[in-house]
Amino acid sequence: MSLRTVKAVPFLLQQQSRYFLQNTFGNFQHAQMSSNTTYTSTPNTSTAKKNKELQQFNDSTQKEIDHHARLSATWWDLNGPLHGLHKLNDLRVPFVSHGLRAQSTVDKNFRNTIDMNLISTAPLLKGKNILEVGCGGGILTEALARLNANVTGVDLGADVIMTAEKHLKKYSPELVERITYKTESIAQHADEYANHYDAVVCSEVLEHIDEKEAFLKDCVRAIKPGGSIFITTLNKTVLQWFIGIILGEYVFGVAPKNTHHWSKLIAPQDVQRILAALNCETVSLNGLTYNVFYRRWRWINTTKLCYALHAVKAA
Amino acid sequence: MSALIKPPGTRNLRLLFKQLHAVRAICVSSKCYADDHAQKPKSTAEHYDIIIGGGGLVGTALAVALGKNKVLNDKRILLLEGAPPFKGFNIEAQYGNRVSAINNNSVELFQSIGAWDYMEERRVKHVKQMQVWDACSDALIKFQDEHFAADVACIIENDLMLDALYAQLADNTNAQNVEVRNNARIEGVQLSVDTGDKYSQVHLKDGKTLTCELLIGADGANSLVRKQMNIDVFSLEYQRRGVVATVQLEDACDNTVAWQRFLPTGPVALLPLSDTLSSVVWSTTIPHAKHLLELSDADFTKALNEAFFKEYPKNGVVVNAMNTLNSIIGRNPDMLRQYPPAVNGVIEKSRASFPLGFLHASSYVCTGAALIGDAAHRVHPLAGQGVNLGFSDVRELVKVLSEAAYAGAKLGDNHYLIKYEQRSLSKNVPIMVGVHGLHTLYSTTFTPVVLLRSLGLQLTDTISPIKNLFMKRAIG
Repeated sequence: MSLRTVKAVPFLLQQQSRYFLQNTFGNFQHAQMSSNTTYTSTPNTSTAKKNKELQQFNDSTQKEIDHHARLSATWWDLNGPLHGLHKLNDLRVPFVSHGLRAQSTVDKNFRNTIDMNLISTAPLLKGKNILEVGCGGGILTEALARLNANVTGVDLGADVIMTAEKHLKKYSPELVERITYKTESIAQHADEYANHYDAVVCSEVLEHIDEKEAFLKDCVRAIKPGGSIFITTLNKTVLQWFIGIILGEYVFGVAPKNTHHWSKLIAPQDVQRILAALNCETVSLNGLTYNVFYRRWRWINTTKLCYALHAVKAA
Repeated sequence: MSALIKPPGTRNLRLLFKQLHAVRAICVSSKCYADDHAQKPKSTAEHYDIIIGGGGLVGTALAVALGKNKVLNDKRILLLEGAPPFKGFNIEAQYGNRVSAINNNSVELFQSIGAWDYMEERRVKHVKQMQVWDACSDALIKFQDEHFAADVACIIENDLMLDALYAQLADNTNAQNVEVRNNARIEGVQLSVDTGDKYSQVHLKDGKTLTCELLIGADGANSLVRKQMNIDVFSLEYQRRGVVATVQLEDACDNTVAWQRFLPTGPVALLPLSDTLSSVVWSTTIPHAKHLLELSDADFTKALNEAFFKEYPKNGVVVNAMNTLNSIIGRNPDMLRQYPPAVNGVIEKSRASFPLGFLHASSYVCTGAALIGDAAHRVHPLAGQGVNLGFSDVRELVKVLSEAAYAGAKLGDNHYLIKYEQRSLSKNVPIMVGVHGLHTLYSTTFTPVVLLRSLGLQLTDTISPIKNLFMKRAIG
């Protein structure tokens, strides 16, 4: 009798743990599903071709563009493969708005430039011109525009920009006049709009870029003197590789598989060094992480995982 | 792994909750993602950011709280109420028979929206102590703050609360973005989740169509919004009715104690209104309630006094056990027992009755819609928690919506609404289970149950940490 019970234990445990895994890591199924559904769907070839004719990217960049183009169909599915990105708005939108507000408190002549009436209200970013580099389907772009900022979103992928424009027209028509989407590189954009923006935001973009120095240089070129650059990205640590890429992409499905590559990650001190050389002083650097059980981002005391960085261009 | 499967105690439960949410979120996902062939809303429809369906206490409080929130002050809010405009509150008139016991959490809500002073200037009765006792035994419990410093609850007429809330809406300096529409009955609702549109539609009985980003169902236990959200409910009728009346006390006294006695047919409560007046809430069987309404005023007074003072037959076993317990813990029940003031009359036409039931919605939210108050939960009035749970919903919902607006999210964003649901559930469920449990426990005269509940009540009263825990939950 007792022997039978003992024998049954491992089996039960196995069963239990399977249920546990299935229930708790519901996202797990999603990670698999996304690899089945979205990865087999091919990007819109005509636009991709047109894109190729317009600009010639190196293989690595083209791969990134294609990878994200495959995601465009599920970009706005709140619980889809990009749910982590949707939830990140929780932290990154206040990070940008607080950063901009704090920065505009006093200008060079110690005049108060902040509109006190806007403190702790929804139109917090009224009158601010923001450039979002690598805006993708516009998850952050729309959120910033909803705080009354004028946002320009640029991305290399024509497919994701199309997704962004479609979503904007259909679901957020009230933001149409404050958002401009463009399919072009930051280099092209900075040529046209040098020293123009109050802030440049590159959120979850830097880890997809090969030429980080050139990219950041172009970003900084578009900022007006005294303006800010906001960056959120993944740190280059073993911990991040294991938690963010191995667990995050292959087990929990926080991001689609194959989204992040170790070789392209960059440490905050390297970003700071590049920015310092471009005359930008880092004013804040915070760590953040995603809780897969609660499906929520939160600030943490270490930048070993993901981090958000705010730097100000010298006036 | 086994450690993961069986985490200790409450964590386990919470994890389970999260799992449920995660799974549910995925089930919903196919729903919230758009299909391409959605029709555009008619351009004639009036658009609001938030529409609140139902202008009861909770719905109106939500409208005021949303209107007063600074983060949300650029949102257009509409309150739909089926009844004609509120007649107002007359301080000269007799006390109304619908009163509520408001806990400290609800008082804080009123203070934060500026309605508290308005009520306090008129008539708010502060209750310093509460005595609850059993008719089938000598078991008794008393709740009070140390040295009676803080209130246990405040007794306020529902009409006065509504009046204070409307006064806030009428004040032009604040809540300008809130509009109230009376005589507006909702005929049908089309949620954006179902249609794939960007807005939900509300069709009124007068043929008008309104659109909104977020629809809030504050439309009571038979909520139309809830039905449209396709949410399952767990509900049961207690087969009891609550009889309310305003009564005259024999002698003018301080009258700061709320009394409640559990009779075999249900609890009867005497809530202070003024030095000479009290309000009665008497939960009893349906035929008895009918009988109580039919009695003459004098006979009703007699029946009420009997309910509070009559000695019910006590079981010897219970009496002995209670005596033993009392001698062990060293207390003399006769020393502690206080008796409620005698009633000598009932105010004319103040008697009424209402059905009692239990209801809980399996979910409070979906993309673009949320439930508050009785639409989401309904409890037995024995602990006076019903409206307080509703006000607690209001606080949580406003907090979550302002977080959403501050992060540039849409108001109907399910990610934020789920937060409201989680916070509200964790507050509401223990109270609802507790109140339902008390009702069940006290609706019997079966000796073992009477014995256990009497010992339990007595021990709870003696062991202050447990007592404080209950007090904190109920009083806020």
